[in-house]
Amino acid sequence: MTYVGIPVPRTEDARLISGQGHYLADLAIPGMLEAVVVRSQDAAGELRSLDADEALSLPGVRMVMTAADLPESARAITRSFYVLTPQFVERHAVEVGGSSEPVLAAGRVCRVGEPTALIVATDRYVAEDARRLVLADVDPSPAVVDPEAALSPGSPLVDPAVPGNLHGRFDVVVGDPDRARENAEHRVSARFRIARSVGSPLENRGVAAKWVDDTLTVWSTTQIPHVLRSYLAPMLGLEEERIRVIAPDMGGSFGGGVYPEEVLVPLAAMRLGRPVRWLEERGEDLMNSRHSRDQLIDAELAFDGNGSFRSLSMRILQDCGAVNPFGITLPFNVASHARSVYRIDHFRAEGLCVLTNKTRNTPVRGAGRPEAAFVVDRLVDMAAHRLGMDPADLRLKNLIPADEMPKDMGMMYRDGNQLVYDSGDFPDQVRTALEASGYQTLRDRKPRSDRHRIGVGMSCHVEGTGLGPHEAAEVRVDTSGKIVVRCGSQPHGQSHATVLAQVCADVFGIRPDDVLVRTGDTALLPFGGGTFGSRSGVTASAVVRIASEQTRRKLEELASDVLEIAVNDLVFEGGRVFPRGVPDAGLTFAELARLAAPGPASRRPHDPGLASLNTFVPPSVTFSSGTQVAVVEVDIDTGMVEVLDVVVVDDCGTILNPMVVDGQQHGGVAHGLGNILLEEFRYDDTGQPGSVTFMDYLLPTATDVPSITVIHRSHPTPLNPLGVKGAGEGATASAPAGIANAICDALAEFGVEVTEMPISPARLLDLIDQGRR
Amino acid sequence: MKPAAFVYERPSSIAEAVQLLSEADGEAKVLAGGQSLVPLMAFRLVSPSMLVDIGAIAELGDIDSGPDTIRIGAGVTHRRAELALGPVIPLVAVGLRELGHVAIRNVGTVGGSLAHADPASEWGALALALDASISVTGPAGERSVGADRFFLDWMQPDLMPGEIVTGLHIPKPSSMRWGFVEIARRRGDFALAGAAVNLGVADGVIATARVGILGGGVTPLRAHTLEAALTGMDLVGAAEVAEAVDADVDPLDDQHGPARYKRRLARVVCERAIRQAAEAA
Repeated sequence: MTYVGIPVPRTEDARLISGQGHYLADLAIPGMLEAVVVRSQDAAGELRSLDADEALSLPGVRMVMTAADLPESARAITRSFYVLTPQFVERHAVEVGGSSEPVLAAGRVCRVGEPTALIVATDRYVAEDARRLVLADVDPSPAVVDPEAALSPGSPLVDPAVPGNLHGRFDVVVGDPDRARENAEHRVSARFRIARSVGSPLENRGVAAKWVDDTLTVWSTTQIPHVLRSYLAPMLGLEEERIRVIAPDMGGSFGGGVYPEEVLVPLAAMRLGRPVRWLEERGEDLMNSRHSRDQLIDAELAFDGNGSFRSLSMRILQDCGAVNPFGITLPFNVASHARSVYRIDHFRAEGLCVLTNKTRNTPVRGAGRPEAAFVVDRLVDMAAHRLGMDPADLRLKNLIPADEMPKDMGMMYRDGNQLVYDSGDFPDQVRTALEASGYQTLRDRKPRSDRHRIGVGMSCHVEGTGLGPHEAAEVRVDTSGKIVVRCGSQPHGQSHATVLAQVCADVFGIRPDDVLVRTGDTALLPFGGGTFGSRSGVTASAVVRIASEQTRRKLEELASDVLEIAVNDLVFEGGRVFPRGVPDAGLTFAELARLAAPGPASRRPHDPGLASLNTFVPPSVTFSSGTQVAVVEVDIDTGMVEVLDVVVVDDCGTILNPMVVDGQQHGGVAHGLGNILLEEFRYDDTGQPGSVTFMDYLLPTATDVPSITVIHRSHPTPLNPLGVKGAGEGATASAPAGIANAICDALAEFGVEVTEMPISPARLLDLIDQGRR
Repeated sequence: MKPAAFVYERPSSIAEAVQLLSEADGEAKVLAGGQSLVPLMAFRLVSPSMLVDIGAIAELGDIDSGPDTIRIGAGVTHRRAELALGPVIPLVAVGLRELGHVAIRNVGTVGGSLAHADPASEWGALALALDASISVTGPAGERSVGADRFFLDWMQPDLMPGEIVTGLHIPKPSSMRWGFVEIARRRGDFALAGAAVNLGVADGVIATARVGILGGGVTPLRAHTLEAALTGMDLVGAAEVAEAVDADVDPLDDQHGPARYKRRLARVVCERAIRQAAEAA
């Protein structure tokens, strides 16, 4: 029996749901001090001085670190999270500046929440007492809050080194969009406003560090332990060998990068010779951590009277916040996914990355795809309305047919490879969604009262998943006979221990229970990528497969040698290797491991042990896709929206564990539902944040999320050994557009067109009122 | 998210609690369920020098049903009140189902909610609609305040220094038609608008009307204009006058909805609550 594709119960669950998880807040190191961060209360201004004397005099305060205390190498995080090839830069007219995020503000502050000092004290209470005593003398200057105003001549500069507040731009042209547009019979266009939202895990961020024997151990709620280590080494002046980064159990993440606290806390531990921990508060997390979306997109779809799409053009204004370590990533993700599942031969997308005095924008689950799907699928519904066609029929008419796969989309992906949809059957996917949802009869459903309307909407998406540059794993036969997998990608709520064990077990013909998966620690293996961009199912399972096969070959060689049987005549079963037809004559994995152990009697003196360390370098991303049908009920007196049903049809290629994929789809729908109905991080005109508690920043709760039906239509990719395509983000992409289209369908009698995300009930009622007049 | 240091006291009598509060000279806060106070302290929006925990005062935990009134002790949790009053005054039970979530109702208290005086307080609107009174004990002894006069301004109840809320007295209605409708962004959130409607009806005509509004201004408030419009109307069709509530409300802007939106919602909740009262068997 094999295990890939089977809903193996999560091995993580028993431990995590019975309170046995070990999170950063559970870490107990003798003598550990607690840190808090002092943050700017001004959005922009000159930081003249920081008076920490009173804080330092408070009993229990051990240190107040300010910018002046930082070594030159640790003053700013200057690495960017991307590498662009010269060909890509030339092809898409990319211009993008460098990035330098202060670890502690020096000389000026550029956003509310920017760290200005780190306080270390004997306990959290004292540290918070001291936080109120650090006095910043800031001469405030006008804040740049509106990204359009930021581009206008005479705007104050967010960063003196970035003229005009324009940090990056690109221009993608496919085909002849101008001509196609002019020749088309119809055009629909709109300005889409996608608000800033915040990826909000259950657990806030945190960092702990200890410095013992000239070796630094850092615990961080990071998605990228090896990457963090590579940032820290030059900044702290240490060899990577002296830094161990551990990502403990994590209560979610949704995106991120490397943050100033991940530099500050290790520095404090090194200075004080004491372990130091910083645990982020919820308000800090909302204000500083995973801001995303925040785009203004002007877009136009041109099409003929028979419904054929001719061209799509858009201008994407990305509000990046005060620093932009992710460069063009987010607006380019919009551009590279904007044509979705549709055949649109002529395309133009201009992207502008604008700096404002806000928290930096980062890729959060979906990272440009929800925005892209929202824009294109709203335009498709507007076009259907214009033509008097059913939106589903218009979609079916314009889908890229299966026999055109792989489909070269005529532009490059961000990794410098040609953007090619490698696999999938979009027409089948859309038809499946229509059938499974009972699309034709959904509008016949009766609303609960004459003040309610029911509507149906759909949305499709594609997602480039499994980004490189690489993933690493080591697979070893333990002397117990169990197989140990060490992987450079680790979970922050995903199912690595379950799924990687399934992949490995199949190679060795054993049960997943006999595989021990270890992740989240740079001491486990020298390389690692991490978990982001729907990549672990793709890249980690691929490398575990590769390393498992190589280790199996070593087992085979050894067994063949000892048993004097040809490799082809060996059978792997139940943790044993034996000659075909002679099960009693074999050896257990444990026996083989002992024979391979180093020593005078080793049977593998040239390569002791039975292990293989491998890496997988994906050729490019692989495209997963999905279609959703949403049913909503709208109260026309209040603008309140209830999502009644969502049907998801997903193509993530080979399904490693359908239960895990279903969970990802459920979570993705909930996240997208929050984005379109609830979530908005606001700043006022002076750059003061207004959404720093969960009373102000609304997340969907159990009562807001409907029943979700997930249907799998798998088309494995040829781009990796298992045929896997990513599943972690896709549902987030389609949910906002599907729900928005359903709202517009429900309110068709009022001519409502939703062009903003989120759409608040107050705003929706305004739109209904406009239609009433 | 750690509060500043404070002294913690847990008296066993109302008199002792009042004395502690009086001696603290306005620097002490009463701790009951802690559902509002504790987060405020964690944010350091308030930093009392002393907490007087009234959880050990047995008499505050009683619910007494007399011939004419029900007295709910200030320390009774929302959930206990919801379950105990359901059969007697269903309006209270239905209204309380909108108060946060069960986990909150299991801990938060009647007195705490009244003393906090949030404009979106379900207890406030219910007390107003039911013509309830609030008993208060302080250094000068005990007094009773009608709900009409208890909510003075934004988060400001009629409580003098050293006074604590000890109970809520609800007259037992002989017969009433009632409705309760609340609209919030998500289930359990603070109301954007809500209405508790209590109608005395004789021969199909509204003889008396009391309407408590939550989320309609700086305090929970009574909709006097709407009440006057309702009085004397046929119950059937009375919902048509709901827009009279316009004159009664003056909602606040916040990020969940501008004032004009909440004003619209006030009409909607009144209309629906009146219709509920009319349609109830």
